[in-house]
Parts: sequence; C-alpha cells; structure tokens
Amino acid sequence: MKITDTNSWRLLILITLASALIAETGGATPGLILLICAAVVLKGQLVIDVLMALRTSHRAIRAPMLAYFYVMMPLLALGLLFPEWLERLTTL
Amino acid sequence: MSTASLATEIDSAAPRHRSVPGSIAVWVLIYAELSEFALFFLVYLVTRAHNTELFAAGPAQLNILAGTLNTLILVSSSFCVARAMKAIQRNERRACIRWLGLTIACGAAYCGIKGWEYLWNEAQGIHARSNLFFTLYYYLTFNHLLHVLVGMATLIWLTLRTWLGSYDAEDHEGLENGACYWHMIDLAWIILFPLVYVMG
Repeated sequence: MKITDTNSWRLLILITLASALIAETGGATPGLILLICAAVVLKGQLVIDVLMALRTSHRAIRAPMLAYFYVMMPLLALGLLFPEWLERLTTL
Repeated sequence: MSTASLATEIDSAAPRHRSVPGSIAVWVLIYAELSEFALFFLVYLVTRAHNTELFAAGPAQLNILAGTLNTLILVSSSFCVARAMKAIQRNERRACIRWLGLTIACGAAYCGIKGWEYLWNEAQGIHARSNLFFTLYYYLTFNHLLHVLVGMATLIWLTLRTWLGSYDAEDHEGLENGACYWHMIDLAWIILFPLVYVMG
C-alpha cells in the first residue's frame, strides 16, 4: 500500500499523541517500553520512506538511515529493560 | 564490452544515481550528526543504568506538554518541507516558498516552546546541575535546539535563493540538501522525545 505524505503526517501525529498519553498516565512498564520503541521505529520509517522520499532511493543511502532505527531502538529497549546488565557491563 | 551494452548499463545506472536526494556531502554530514546523537543516546542509557531511581523519577518532573507540542511541530515541519520539495519538482516556486515559510515558522515555534519549557523548568527549581538526569536532559535538548537553529538559518537562505529563482524543477539540489538536513533534525527528536520525556 502506498502511503501519501499527508496520511504519513496524520499517522505521525497520532503516534505522537498516543506516546504523550502514555507519558501522562504514569510509569513505563516493560510492555509499554517495547510498544513505544516499536512506535519510534514506525515513525522513523514513515519519515525516511515517505517524507524524505527515500523508498526508491539508492540502498546505500536508505539502508543506513533505516538501520539507525532498526538497530538503535532494540539497543535502547535492551538498555532500558535490563539496566542492571548494562551497569555490570559498564562498571570498571 | 560493446559500446551498446555499455550505453545500456549507463542508462540503467543513471536513474539510480538521480534517485539520491541531495549531494553526497550532505549525506556525510547527516550520518555524522546522527552518529553524534547516537553517542549521546548511548551515554544517556549507560548513565541511566548506573542511576536507575534518579532517571525513573526524572520524566515526571518534565513539562510533557512542551515536549509533545514540539514533537507535533517538528513532525509537521517535516511534512511542510516535503511539500516544498514536491512543489519545486512541479516548478511551482510560489507554493515552494509558502511551504518553506511554514517550515521556518514551525522551527520558530519549536524555539519559542523550548524557551518557555526552560523558563518553566527554572520556575520549578530545575537546573542543569540539579542532578545527572537534568544535566543530560539539558545537554541533549540544548544540543538539538542548536541544530534546529542551524536548520532554520539554512532554510531562510534557501527560501531567499528560491525567491531569487535559483531553483527549478530540473535543478534544486541545494534545496534537497537543506530539506534532508531538516528531516535529520526531526529524526533525532523522534528518538529523543520518548527516551527522555516518556521512558526516562
């Protein structure tokens, strides 16, 4: 399905408002952290593919941009969900 | 290799080359900037791992409304700059200038809200030296604000050049460079907002 830039913008607004609602309702549980990380990946992909119009661009440009979200967000999720593991790993 | 097959190869390679928006220089800059933000995010994560209670309490003290408004504004500004690119591709210079103007207005609104947020923090007794969470919060958000200011200055210059007729449907690489840089600023905020304001 081809998403237009207007629909992409609407979806981005909707995801942002949902994230803000989560922030207002209290602490982030592990499930919510995973959900928010997935939402960030989706937002990133929408901006990269639709608004930046990189969907049909050379993969040498598009792949690192997408990888930024597909690699960074799982790493952040792991760090947020298992801080004690990260603390052990980074203690000298 | 025959001349005909070489010509076919060049023809098939040409559209792929053209499909890269902006110049290679701006992509090097974008990857460098995103790497810088990635490093900050990792520093935030490691610091959080060593101060979990401090960071768990941090987001609740922040102005979520300001963070949310700024996210909505930046996302909208990305949409506006994308429409400006579509307009110049159709040779609609006036429409392009209007969309660029809206993008700059979004950037100005972002700066205004960020200023209000910092003043609100001051009133709540929140400073960069209050604790480690706020030190990193100020470091990340102020650094991002500087990028927005650089992006705005670039877009003002590009709007002026568009008004002077420097860009058209065939030649608008400079405009694409500025648009890609602006999208990068939005992408960095897309990660920064939930990391600092929501998940803590």
